[in-house]
Amino acid sequence: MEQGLLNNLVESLCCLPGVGRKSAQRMAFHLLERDRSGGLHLAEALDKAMQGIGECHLCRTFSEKTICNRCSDPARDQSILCIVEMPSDIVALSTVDYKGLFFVLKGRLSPIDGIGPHEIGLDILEQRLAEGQVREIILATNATIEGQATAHYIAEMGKKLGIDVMKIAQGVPLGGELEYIDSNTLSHAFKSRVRY
Amino acid sequence: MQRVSLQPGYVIHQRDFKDSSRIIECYTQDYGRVALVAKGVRSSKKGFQYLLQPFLPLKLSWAGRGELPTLTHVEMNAASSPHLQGKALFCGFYLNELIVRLTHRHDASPELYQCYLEALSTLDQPDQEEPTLRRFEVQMLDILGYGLQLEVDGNGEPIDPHQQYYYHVETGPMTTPIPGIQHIPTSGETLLALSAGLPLANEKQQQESRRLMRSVLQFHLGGKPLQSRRVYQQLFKS
Repeated sequence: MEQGLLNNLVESLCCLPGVGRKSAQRMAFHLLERDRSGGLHLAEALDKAMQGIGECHLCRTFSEKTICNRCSDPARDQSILCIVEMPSDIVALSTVDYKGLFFVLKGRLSPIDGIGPHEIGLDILEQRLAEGQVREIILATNATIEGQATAHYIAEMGKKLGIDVMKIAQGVPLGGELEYIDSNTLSHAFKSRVRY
Repeated sequence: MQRVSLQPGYVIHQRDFKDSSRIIECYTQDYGRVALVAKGVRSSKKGFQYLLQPFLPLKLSWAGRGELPTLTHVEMNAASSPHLQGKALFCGFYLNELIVRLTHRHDASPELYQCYLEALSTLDQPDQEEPTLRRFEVQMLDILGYGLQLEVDGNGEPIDPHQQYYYHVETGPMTTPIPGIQHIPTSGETLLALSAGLPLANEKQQQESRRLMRSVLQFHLGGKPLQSRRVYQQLFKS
């Protein structure tokens, strides 16, 4: 019986990214031998999070409420919408001085994998844009081909509705030396040069 | 242990593999379609990560045994690359899906590689999407041995540009439809234009050739439809 429980725990831990059987075993033994209270705490937190965290109806990021704190914050500018691929991108952008709202696609257009506009919530986005509150969108999808394809499609959608469409700049990173920067990034940086 | 050095090729598709790696599906000049593991490419700043994108002309090096060798080096093959945007970009995805679905791994065809190269560079020009796709489809099927019968009809008579034909993959163009088989009505003019790789003169020819190629491709692809076409339709036909 006990062996069954232990096995079950090890196998369950294997669902974590980067955790194989060996690491799962080490975690399980650690919790059982040295940190039972930590283990119970983890179990409780996991249970609560899995039950309680859903999706914000406006921006599609993880949230406990139907409308997340960010979307319901009156101090934020409701007329600017920044579009990102993943919830983790919002965390990355939280260090930036940006006071508008976000929209999370949870993916990108990838025709070969059959990921189309519906799968990444572009119909929800279109509805939101059509409501008229958003005056400007900032495209912050990844600088991959799929990310660009997604950005292009959203840009067309925004332009049709008369919304200002911006895209985050691409170019030389801070502290970067031109000699070591790849030619594609350099040519992007050159094309979008700004008045100094 | 196989070691290949600086082979011209393109990334066709990629997917995440384990924690920090990717499996890169490539289409190369002398080795056909190959799958390579790009180890650690998602986590480390290895330097060539940014190059592993579709439609960039690359030179790829790999080494290893078996089905899944390791990518060891990548560099650009040309200073500039076609910059596909909008519809052309989604047409590019369609070309890539055709290659993934219709070619076998390690089935090398420098001829088809050349056609792919030409298709990418003409897609880059304005309003060339339809003719480029049709030309590539005809060339690809021809090279892979599924070529269409476009010059003579099912009875061995040369195609008459003014005649209406009924095309089926197994019978070729027929002057009268055979009952019980689904045919694609196509004019002789369209068949000859497709055969010669000529630009399709009008909307009717474009529509006919589109329907013809769709049905022929469907036949060779089996039941599973092309995903990129479905996405394209969702994006641009609504």
